[in-house]
Amino acid sequence: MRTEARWIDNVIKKEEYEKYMNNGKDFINDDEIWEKIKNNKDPEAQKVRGIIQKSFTLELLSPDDTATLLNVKDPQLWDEIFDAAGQLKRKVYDNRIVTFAPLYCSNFCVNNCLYCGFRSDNKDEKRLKLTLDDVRKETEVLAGKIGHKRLVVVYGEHPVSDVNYMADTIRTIYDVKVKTRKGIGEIRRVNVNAAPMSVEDLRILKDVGVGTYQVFQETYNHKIYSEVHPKGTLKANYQWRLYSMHRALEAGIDDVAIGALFGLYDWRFEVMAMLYHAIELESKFGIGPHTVSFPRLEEAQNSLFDTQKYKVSDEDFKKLVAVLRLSIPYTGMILTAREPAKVRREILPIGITQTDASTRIGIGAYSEIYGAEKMSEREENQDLGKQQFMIGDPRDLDDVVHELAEMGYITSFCTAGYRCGRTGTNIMTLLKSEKEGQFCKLNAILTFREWLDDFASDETKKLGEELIKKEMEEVRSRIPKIYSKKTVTTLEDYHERIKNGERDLYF
Amino acid sequence: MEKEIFTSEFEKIAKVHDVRLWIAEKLGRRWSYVTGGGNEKFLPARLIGQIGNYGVFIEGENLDDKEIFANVHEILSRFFDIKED
Repeated sequence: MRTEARWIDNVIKKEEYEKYMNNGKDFINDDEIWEKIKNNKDPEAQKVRGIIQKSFTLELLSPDDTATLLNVKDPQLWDEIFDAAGQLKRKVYDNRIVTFAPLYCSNFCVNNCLYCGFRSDNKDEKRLKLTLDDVRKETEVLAGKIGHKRLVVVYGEHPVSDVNYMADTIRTIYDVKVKTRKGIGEIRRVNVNAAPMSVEDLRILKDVGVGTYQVFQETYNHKIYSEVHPKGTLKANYQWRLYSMHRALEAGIDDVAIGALFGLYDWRFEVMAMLYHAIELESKFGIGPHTVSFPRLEEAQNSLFDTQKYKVSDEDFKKLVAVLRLSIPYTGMILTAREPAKVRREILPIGITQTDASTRIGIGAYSEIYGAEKMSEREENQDLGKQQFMIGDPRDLDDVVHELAEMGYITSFCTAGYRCGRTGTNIMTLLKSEKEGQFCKLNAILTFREWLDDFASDETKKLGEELIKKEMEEVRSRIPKIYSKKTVTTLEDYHERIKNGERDLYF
Repeated sequence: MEKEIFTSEFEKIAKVHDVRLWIAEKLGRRWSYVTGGGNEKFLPARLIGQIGNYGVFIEGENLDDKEIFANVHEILSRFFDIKED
């Protein structure tokens, strides 16, 4: 216990966030946000349509613009917003959806957040931490049996899962190679969801080659934040968390991700605050959020939080996703398996760029479930005693890929960008100039080809083949406006080589 | 300041050779962008050389890798004491 207390005392470095504050104030002004929301009530349709058009410039909207959108009441105007959100996504990212899986490595936590199953006072939670051998086994399942190429690794905040443990687990994941039907399965991008860290610790993460570093503020409202994160815990420090991305960028991690846990406070406030966060990062570093996340609060074991008070309805959820898409038009948007399949189907077309599948969030759950040889042995119940919350859509990746293909989306396993320098200011420029989506299209075809050959069921493969054919035709039709003949011949060559067993060819 | 000069110089080289040219820092599997110039060609990026932990990438049909790398090396050596491997 004494060691734990000593560790806690050394985590927060005030000087690392106070220097970014303005006269002791952070960049989230609760009163100003509510004023903006109140001052932009009952907007005229023409004004709303003007803002929708503005979002197509792919620059951040202003807080007044976003507040205006949040105040729309007319269902027809909302339909226009939903439609625009979908168009914007296609403009920036084309029709690809990137998939990933979360890997929970440890559920030890020193915090006591009222809404979380991992909170230290929850004595019914079975505390587990993956050994490096466990991490290897989990990765073998994810990369070798399911076919993921991209993970987000998740850790509780605790000395047993400190930055050195994180670095070791990430190295272990990157080292795993598994023989598949026609090639090799491996994880090519590891993103991290972890507690706020010091610049020094972030540099350790940077050096192991993390993809995106994500920290969610949970709620941006100062008062609610202090109520749900008890005094005396690490997480009680609002600013230490709020300035996590500043420190990450300072440490050289140039793909950063923000998010809020919707359901802790009024959803309109959180949307506004996320925009302010993006504005702050752009103004200080010239780099906005690589992705934004908007998980809805789910029931957790022994939760002490009233989940009904600020519960976000499905209708409002759709609105918040669309307004975020228009407000931060270039950003990646992640919809997770917290949401049931029905909601995912409805939300995906309004701006989503990434989603997870085959998701298990219990510690060690992938090897337990997917390790079974027979499908019939894989049926299992979620164990709330080993996971943070209940997930809503536990479908297999094959089912999700199949459904996406039916909806006209190509599943992408692309991890090319961060392995050839399309990061930071570079990717921001590419996103805002609509060029990134052109890379996405090419890499989606190639990585989808790999996955179909290595992991797809016969039915999904058949559907996927048709989709690839259609995508290749689309690429050809973009000569010479976007692509050169050389691009297309290279794509065709890579596609053939992948069919013959080569792997990891990308643009 | 140096970064702005590099960007401007890289733009010039990129234009002459009709490539997209950039420099990135290697971190494990990650290559983090530093600066670069030229327009995207939508072709696979080629790592044409490394200087310490930094890699020089090009994207384009031009195959004058050695010449382009030599140009980049010369620019960087104006500002840094580059040790040869």
